[in-house]
Amino acid sequence: MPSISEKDITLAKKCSEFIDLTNRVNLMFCEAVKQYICCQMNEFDSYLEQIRKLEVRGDAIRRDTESRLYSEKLIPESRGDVLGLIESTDDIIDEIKKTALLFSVEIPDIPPIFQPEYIALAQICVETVDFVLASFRVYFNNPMAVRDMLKPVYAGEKSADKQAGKIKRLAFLDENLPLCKKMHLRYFAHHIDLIADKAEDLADRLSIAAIKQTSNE
Amino acid sequence: MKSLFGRTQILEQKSAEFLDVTIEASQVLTTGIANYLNDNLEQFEADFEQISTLENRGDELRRDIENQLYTETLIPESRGDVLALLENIDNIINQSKQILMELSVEIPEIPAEFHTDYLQLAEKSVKAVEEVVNSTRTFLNYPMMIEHSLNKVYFWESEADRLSEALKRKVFRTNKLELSRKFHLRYFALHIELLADKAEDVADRLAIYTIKRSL
Repeated sequence: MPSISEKDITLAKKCSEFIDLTNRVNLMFCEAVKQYICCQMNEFDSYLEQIRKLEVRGDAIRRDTESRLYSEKLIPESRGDVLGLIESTDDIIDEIKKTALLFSVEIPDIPPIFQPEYIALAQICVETVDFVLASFRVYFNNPMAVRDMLKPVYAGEKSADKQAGKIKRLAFLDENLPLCKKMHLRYFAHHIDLIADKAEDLADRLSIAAIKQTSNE
Repeated sequence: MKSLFGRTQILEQKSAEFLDVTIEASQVLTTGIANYLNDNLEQFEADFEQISTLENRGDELRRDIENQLYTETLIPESRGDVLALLENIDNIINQSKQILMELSVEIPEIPAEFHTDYLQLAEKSVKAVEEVVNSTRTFLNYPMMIEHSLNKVYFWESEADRLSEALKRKVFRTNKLELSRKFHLRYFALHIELLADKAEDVADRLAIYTIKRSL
């Protein structure tokens, strides 16, 4: 059976555009966190603005792709899977935007000892998302390769959990911090960590979609 | 009506093991909460360790079953339903682990006057889990006989809701605690209550699948 790219090149290109956009949002998020922690608020705001615009653009691409899938009756045997994959990818963008927005709204005060820990957490999450997006891209041309490519996604998600756990423990063991600040620090670690969880959700869907695609071949 | 798995015995065994893991995780959760409240912190950390191992095992089993369902093209007419069911049950195991992890990380100070409330809330939530696991076993083997069991899940979930609300009211009406501590106590009540909500999510899915299979 031909790959999805071979069956519908325009659809594959649309999805590729969506993946590119998600990738940009992902990379911007890491930079935004670094700028926030370095107190470069103008830079941070500029990244947030770009993330917001890309999220709106992402929604438009997603809706357009979804309606094409159904109105033009494209790849009927896999469209449910492609739809689910696009929605899970969109959840990653939404979570990133939401987390960046939380920084902007709640302006958490991150003590210096925690700063490298948050940057490390953001980097792990961004890498995890990067791995899953690379696998998603490959799904259209070579679904057989997807399963092996997902292993670093699962490892990344576990590693993000571990790093978020480390931050939370550090916060709650710190006797100099009032409880309300501990909870605030925990909240941000939790939300950054959720980005890796969303990447794992996409990986789970990809894994099944790839098996279905290859078993049809 | 036939068993959902028909003659796919290995799948049946793995699913049974996955459900055993779910029950075991909820039992460890109950013990863990009791140990935490009784200040048996060493034993509590051992419970946390155990639940983490169970959660990993649950993930392995779930992915294994899902891959097998699709690679071997087993029960094609119901595999989407089984897949979603497993993922929802996995959320119960994750939530059980999450609660002990949060206790371990955040070490909330829980005044003695609230201990019984937390224990009772955990007990009701775990009952909802036990009942939904029973319902799932029934669904997988005798799909038409689960109505009675589902009814019990909804009962325990509403009991958990009720106790959680009462606990939160009690916390927010005491004048001995700072607002941040009240938030912290409410957070733990909410997370224990969420366990019963996850059980209810599974029950809702089971109810739909039963209707689908009866058509």
